[in-house]
Amino acid sequence: MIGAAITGSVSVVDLASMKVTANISTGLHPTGMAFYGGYLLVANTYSDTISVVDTTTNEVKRTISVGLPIKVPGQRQAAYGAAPDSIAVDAATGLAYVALYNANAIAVVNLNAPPKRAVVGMIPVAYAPSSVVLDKANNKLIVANDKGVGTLYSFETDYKVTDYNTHQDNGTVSIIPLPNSITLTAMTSQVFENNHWDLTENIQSAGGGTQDTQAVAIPAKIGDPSLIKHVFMIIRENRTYDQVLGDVPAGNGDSSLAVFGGKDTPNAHNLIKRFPLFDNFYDPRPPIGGRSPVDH
Amino acid sequence: MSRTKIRKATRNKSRINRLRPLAGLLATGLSIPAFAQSVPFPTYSTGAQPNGSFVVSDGQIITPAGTQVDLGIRVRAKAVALNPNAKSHTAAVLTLGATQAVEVFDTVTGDVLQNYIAFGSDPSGSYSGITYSPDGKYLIFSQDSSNVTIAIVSAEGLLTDNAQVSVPPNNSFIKCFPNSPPAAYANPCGSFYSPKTSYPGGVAISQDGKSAYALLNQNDTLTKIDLTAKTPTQGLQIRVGNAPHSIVISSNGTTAYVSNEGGRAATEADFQINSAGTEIVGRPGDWRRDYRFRFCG
Repeated sequence: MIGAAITGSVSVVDLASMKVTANISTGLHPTGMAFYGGYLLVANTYSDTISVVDTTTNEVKRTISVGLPIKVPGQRQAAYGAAPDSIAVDAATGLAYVALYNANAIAVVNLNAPPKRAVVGMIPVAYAPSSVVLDKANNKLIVANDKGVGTLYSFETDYKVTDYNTHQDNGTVSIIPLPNSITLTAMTSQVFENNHWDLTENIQSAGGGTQDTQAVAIPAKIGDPSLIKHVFMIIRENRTYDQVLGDVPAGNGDSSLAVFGGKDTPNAHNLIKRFPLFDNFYDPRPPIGGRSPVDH
Repeated sequence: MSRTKIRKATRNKSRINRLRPLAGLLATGLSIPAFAQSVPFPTYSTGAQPNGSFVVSDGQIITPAGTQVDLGIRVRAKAVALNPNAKSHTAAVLTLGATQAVEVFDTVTGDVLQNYIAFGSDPSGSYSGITYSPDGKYLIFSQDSSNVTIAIVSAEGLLTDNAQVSVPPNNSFIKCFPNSPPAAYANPCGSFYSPKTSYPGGVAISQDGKSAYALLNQNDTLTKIDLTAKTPTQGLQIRVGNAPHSIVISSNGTTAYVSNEGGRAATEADFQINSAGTEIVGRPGDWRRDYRFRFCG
């Protein structure tokens, strides 16, 4: 992870003496944890993995991948960005339910399977699941969805203009009966479709590039050389596209939401005359496990 | 994007037919057809869709399974805890940026039963940290107002005020290590960092219900709170790793495990990047980036 901590760790604390007795090196940005017998499971949010720690020796015994089930053509590892952040364990079945913040899903993990084949399915939840608990008595999962179903309406104005801005998330909780293998298969299909992971042709057809091709500005294939060395992307903190550029006819915007249109933001409006206009670019994720709102 | 224009809202129906068996997919990665051809990426506007799904701000589709509890607008749902008193069939959600700190809901019906504001005046929540005592009689949770708050839980699962335990921020002097960058965003080494809150996060209660433990994310510490005291106050505070997030206690009650988002404490030999008053182990070349992984907003 560029620009972030290059270590992740778990501190072991003896509660009688209130002293740190060991430090366990984990994946990056460890957040949610749960026990499975004598093992401690740690969700490494920025490594897309679960560390399995033997609590008698404080050693990481296994690392389970919960990375995305797609790959960039030509690369071996899973595409990055599932962001596991919370774990609930059903010790009776040996299954862990792992919230994937960026996939809007709960991964069902077989803790007794080989680490690379441990994910047996996924359950669709709402936007950005932050926390999962198991209600064993009723065989239900209870999942907090940080951003729920997104912002559905607005109650605020900026400069007398109704705006759909950051901080207006409509958080939800999902109460989900535990799936069986049949319902889990259907749920997994739904998660693939929701995340557009089913568009395998698009992924594959973009692959197969070669460095032997003549360099052009925008290569046709991943792996082809490009004349462009650096890309600068300018995104306004705490602002939506429509608030600044909604009044640009070339984009799919809504001028009624342009709180800070061309009159207020001449520089931004000049930039998009010379450079590409990203009217459908989305990057709403805050630092996971952290505090920032969407689009921050 | 625009909420007034609905472009092509219908999805390409043939996509569903192109799904491959999922057990195989998940086990082996994607199987790729021999003659791959790209198909148009679906286009639609964000918000509720005609088929009942939602498209959210990053283009993903939302079709949540099960029963949905609507917590209301301007609510970020950060952590959920299940009431161990099963007869009450309730659970509590810690919210952030909302008009209440905690929402209590019925786990059978999905109805919200209570919007709880601590002592009638403190609606702040936190990014993490909510748990019931093992007997289900108390709920403790973290608040951005630099408090760990204890609420009494009724037989029906409803909350009333008990105590707010102040867990103040530590002022930290940012040491200049040999490998520190010459300056860092807003907080150069050699200066004091004075935060407004300790950002309390993950919490846990001992099995006997006598002690609570809270992580102070800003302070990089774990603190103990004696719940048997007439007026509980913050006790001993010890340094753990950087930006601690969650805490769990072993079943025999002797050992706590603390996850540190920002990793281990830096040593003189490390390359350090300053983040909100703490030197983080980083990589040379990264320090010019705005490095506020735990503290922005």
